[in-house]
Amino acid sequence: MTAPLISLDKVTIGYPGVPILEKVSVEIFPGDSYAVLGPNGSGKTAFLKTIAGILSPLEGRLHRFTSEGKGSLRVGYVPQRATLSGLLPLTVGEVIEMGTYGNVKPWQRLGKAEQERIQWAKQEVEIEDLDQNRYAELSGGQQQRTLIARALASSPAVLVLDEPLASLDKKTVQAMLRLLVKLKSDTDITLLWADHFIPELLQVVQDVLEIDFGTVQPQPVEHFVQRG
Amino acid sequence: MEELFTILHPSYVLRNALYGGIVAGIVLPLIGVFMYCRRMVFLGVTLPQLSTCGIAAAVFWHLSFHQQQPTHSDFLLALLGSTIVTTGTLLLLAAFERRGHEVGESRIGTLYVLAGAVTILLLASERVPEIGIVTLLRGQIIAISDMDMAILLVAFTGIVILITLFRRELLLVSVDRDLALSLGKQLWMWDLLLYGLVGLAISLGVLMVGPLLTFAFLLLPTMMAIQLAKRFFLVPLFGGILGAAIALLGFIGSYFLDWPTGATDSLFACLLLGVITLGQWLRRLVFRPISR
Repeated sequence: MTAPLISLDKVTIGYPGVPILEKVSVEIFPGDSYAVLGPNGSGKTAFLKTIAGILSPLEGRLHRFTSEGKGSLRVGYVPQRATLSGLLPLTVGEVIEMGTYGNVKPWQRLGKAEQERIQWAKQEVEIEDLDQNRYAELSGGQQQRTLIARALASSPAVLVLDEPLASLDKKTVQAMLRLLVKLKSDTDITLLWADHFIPELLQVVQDVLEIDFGTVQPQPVEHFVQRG
Repeated sequence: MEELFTILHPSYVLRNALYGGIVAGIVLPLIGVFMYCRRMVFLGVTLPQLSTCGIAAAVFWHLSFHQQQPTHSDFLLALLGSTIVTTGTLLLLAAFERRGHEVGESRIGTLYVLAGAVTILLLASERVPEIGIVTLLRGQIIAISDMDMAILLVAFTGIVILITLFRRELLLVSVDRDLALSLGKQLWMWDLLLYGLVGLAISLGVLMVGPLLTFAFLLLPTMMAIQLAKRFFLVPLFGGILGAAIALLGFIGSYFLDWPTGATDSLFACLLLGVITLGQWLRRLVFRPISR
């Protein structure tokens, strides 16, 4: 049996003094794809941030393992795109480069491996020609692709996406779905994707983690297909 | 023209005022970039006021125990008082924020009022002779010795080296803290470094050029550079160059017009910002894409 990459054991998730999800016991396996579904305000973002190491568990135990059994597990986090200020003249290239800052010592220059990784990430999300463009001036879909490329540049074993389709038009949603299907077939990255339920999501994921009534429950995909 | 050569000559009697202004003009915008990214601009007004309060407190303490006016060697005492109050307050605010309390504008405004009131009350004390302390709080660059100037240069050089070495981490914790955490960065460590650098740079800035010009150098060259730079990593470079140019041209202007240097520099920086903003607006107007 495959060992999990991430294991949560009776974990309480939330912000200091504000628990949102309680007694969460879930395992995330390598190469699998998970949809994290739940209504607005149910705690999807808090759950993803805990997986990504942005929030610490308030209670319980969270373990991360690497497939090699050493080092620390790398989790790429794709936030909702409003998190980067539009006032700063950050170019697409600079935003993606930030993803590699965890791979080199602070005083070191980015090496060949990081440059190649950045180039690969741009190709993977098809934004090579946007390198010098200002991030703030891109369309919603292009900004989302940039943030996915930034997460990929960090060489993650797990990719966490927080509502990547929010406020995108129908055509862009389809393009993003094609992109994620391609990403899944090109790499062995484990995918966690939080969103509201949309039928197309089931093209990409194998498992569903449903957030409701203050906890997280694994559910079979078929359960949602039947629900329509 | 001859007078201009006199000002720029190394033997000019007020050369430290010119050099100090240029150095502050280069270094303070480098710090200002990160304060701008973190939306700490309002704090940028308050910190020089706190720094002034620290200088006043240090001088008051000195006079209370030594019964004599501060001399040039007490420049370090003022720097120490200023740095302790500025950096200490920043660290307290950071600790407050870390415990989940928001450091709102109202709290920062209250700090500004408190620091201003305490400074005035300390200056009003019978123990503090007015002339000496007022010179110090305006930025006593004219009065400092070459030795003190050298100390300032070493400290500012240290700040520039640290910012250059750790620019990626400082940028990361300033613009996207969630990403920094997900990449395994220790936020408290980088916050500590940034707040330490901000505290020290502002303390040195207030001692060299006074609170008004310190705030002007923190904010205005950064605002200009953000409009001019095509890449973010050019912003600190442009900011430093613009700050140095403002200090040099402001000094020359103040010499010929016989105006106070700090106020002349600040006015010149505001005018330059206005020209750049207008130029950018016109450029967008002329070169905007034609809608079909």
